[in-house]
Amino acid sequence: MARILVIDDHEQIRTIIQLLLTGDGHTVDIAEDGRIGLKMAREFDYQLVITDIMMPNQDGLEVVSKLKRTIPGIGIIVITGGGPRVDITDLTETARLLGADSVLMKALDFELLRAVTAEVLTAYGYR
Amino acid sequence: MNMTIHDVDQKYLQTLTVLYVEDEDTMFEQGVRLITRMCGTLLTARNGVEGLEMFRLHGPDIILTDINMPVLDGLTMAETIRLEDRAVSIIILTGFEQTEYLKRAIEIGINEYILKPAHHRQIMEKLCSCAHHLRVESELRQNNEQLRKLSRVVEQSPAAIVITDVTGAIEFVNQSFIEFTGYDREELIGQNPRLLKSQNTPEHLYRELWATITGGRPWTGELQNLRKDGSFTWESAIISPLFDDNGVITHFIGIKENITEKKLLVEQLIYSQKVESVGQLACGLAHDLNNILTVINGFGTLLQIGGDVSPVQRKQIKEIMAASSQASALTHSMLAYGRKQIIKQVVQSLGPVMNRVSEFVRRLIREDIELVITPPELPLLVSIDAGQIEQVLINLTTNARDAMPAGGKLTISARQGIMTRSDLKGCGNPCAILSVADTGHGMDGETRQRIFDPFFTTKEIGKGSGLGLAMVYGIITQHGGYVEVLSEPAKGSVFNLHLPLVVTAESGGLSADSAEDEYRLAEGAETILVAEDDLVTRMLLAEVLTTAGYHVIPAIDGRDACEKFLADRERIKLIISDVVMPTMGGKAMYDTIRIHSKSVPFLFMSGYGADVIQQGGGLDVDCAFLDKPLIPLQLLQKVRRLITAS
Repeated sequence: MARILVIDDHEQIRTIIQLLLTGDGHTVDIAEDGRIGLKMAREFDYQLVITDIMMPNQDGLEVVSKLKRTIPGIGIIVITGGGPRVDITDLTETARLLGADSVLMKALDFELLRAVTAEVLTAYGYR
Repeated sequence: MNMTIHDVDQKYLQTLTVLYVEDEDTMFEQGVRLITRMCGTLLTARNGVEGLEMFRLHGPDIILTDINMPVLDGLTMAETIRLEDRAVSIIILTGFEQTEYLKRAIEIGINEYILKPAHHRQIMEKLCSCAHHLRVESELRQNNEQLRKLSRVVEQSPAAIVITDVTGAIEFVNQSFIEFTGYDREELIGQNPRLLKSQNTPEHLYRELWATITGGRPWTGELQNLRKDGSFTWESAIISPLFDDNGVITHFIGIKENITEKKLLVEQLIYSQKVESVGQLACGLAHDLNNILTVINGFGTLLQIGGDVSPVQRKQIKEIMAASSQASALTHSMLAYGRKQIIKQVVQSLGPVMNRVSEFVRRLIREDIELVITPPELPLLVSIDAGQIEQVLINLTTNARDAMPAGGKLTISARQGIMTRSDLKGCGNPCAILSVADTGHGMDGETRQRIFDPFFTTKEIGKGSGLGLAMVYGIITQHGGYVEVLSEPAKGSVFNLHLPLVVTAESGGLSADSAEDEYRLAEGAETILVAEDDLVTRMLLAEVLTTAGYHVIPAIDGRDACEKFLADRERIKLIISDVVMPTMGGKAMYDTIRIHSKSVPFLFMSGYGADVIQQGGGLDVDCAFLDKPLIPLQLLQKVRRLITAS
């Protein structure tokens, strides 16, 4: 089982993901914005990070970009519901370009999230 | 017979040239003394031949001549002169014994005669009399000339001009007025301008207009008119009364400018701004709704997994999840509406796109609707995002289906046409017209005007998002085209989507048939300086450019960029820069670098659009612009073009 970090400024969403993936046997930490998330990722040894994009302090695209440069072996799933003044397709394309392994649209289909989580972890050889 | 001599004629005489022909010495000397004082220039001659010569050489205004002279007599000279010049005034001096000559003189067209012996007073009077006639004629000529000029101006004025009598009956219209209204001159003269009234202008406006001008004041304002062919035009009008010398109104004059195009442009601008702001609102709203729906889905999923629920509760949870899923589909259409960029615009033929979508369209409609899809006879090459055009066809099909509850016929066809919307860049160019026609209940004018408004729907609550046609509008506009709607109640609807045609000869390398080919064509190995203060954007740029083979030198602001350019100026083939940066902005950096290099091309990126920057900040025309957010393919294509061009 893997160690996973969930970064989302929406408290209920990060809690749900934590509950769900903990139920699947993973160890799941949570962070409320990009800056805290990146700090935690440097301190602990995560195999997978699930991050929102539109967040205060440091946004999800920056998180993806920094993680991919500093920890090449880390899996990244981006979850996004778009946002004001941005093009949703731009967000998802950019996230992929920066190195996200998968981009899921909110409102999240949690069964899909569970499946993709397993897929990404397998791809990185963590199970 | 004493004539009055008017000062004004005397003065005018002093501007004229007089030719005095006299052979007798005493007379001649006296005459010269007198006439010199009175006229502007005095020419003299001593016989008819000399007189004729002086006339031909100098073209005098008045000729005063004796009759009996050697070589050539005065009458024969006058006769010759009169044949050559009808305007010159001729006065003859004649004795009593010569009265038989008078008959001939009248035939020749002599203006005045003086009986000898001539008194000074008489000569003065006659000269002034001639001056008087010449002055009146000259004034008349000038007035006529002025009148001719003015009527030319009125006739050829780009403003539509109409003159009516006090009852409002039209007396005069100019050419612009005829073109503006579509009526012939004959159809307009005698009519009241209310002939042009449109039903859309409130009656009180006309009443106010009439009260103003009959009250002696000019009226200005905008009016909507009905042309002869039934189309509407907008005019900006000044209508004013014309008074006679006693202050009584004799006519009304209307001067009108055709502002139909202007109105249309303003309306379109307001409309696109509205669409844009609603799009942003929709995106923001969708983002928040998506979070809320995620929570609903999440706890629903947790409950389902938890196992502590009864079968009935499980069913209820499933209903909650299903409703959430419907809401989620709605938020995604809101996000799609807010999309601004076209990601994969590829040059392709319209026919195959129509064929691909036909199966999907068939599944959307019911069995009582006949579907006819007619692909174009000749391949129509357009630069489109096929996915988006499919979306457009699907939206239009859904609407057509709902407009035909009792069945009907849906026709999707394509043909070549011409872009006719004058406010668009490609006006007059060939285009593809993709047409979706139904035989449904149609629309009235009011509905037709509002159909592209976001959230406007005629469907029952819950059945339509009101975004379908707004999306159609947005997508077609992004493709550089426009939507034409033809519809009337009970007569069905036709949506004609005009898309600019790609000319094959010019498309050259662009006619790659896959996005990958396009990427490959945009690759390169040159060195590019990237000035951008925002870390994420800078990294994104570096990533995209490096992947395509370029070497990237990053700079964090304008000053950093200048230093790095000077250090490596030989290798740097392009500078990509943000416009607004701390320490030194894009414009200042541009100015600094231009001192050192006149040739290196610049590509500015901006979230505000090139127009705003060029209006506000005044960057030179030799810069290229790219809108944010950045689309990798667009960026690479622009980069390639700029480097190749330099």
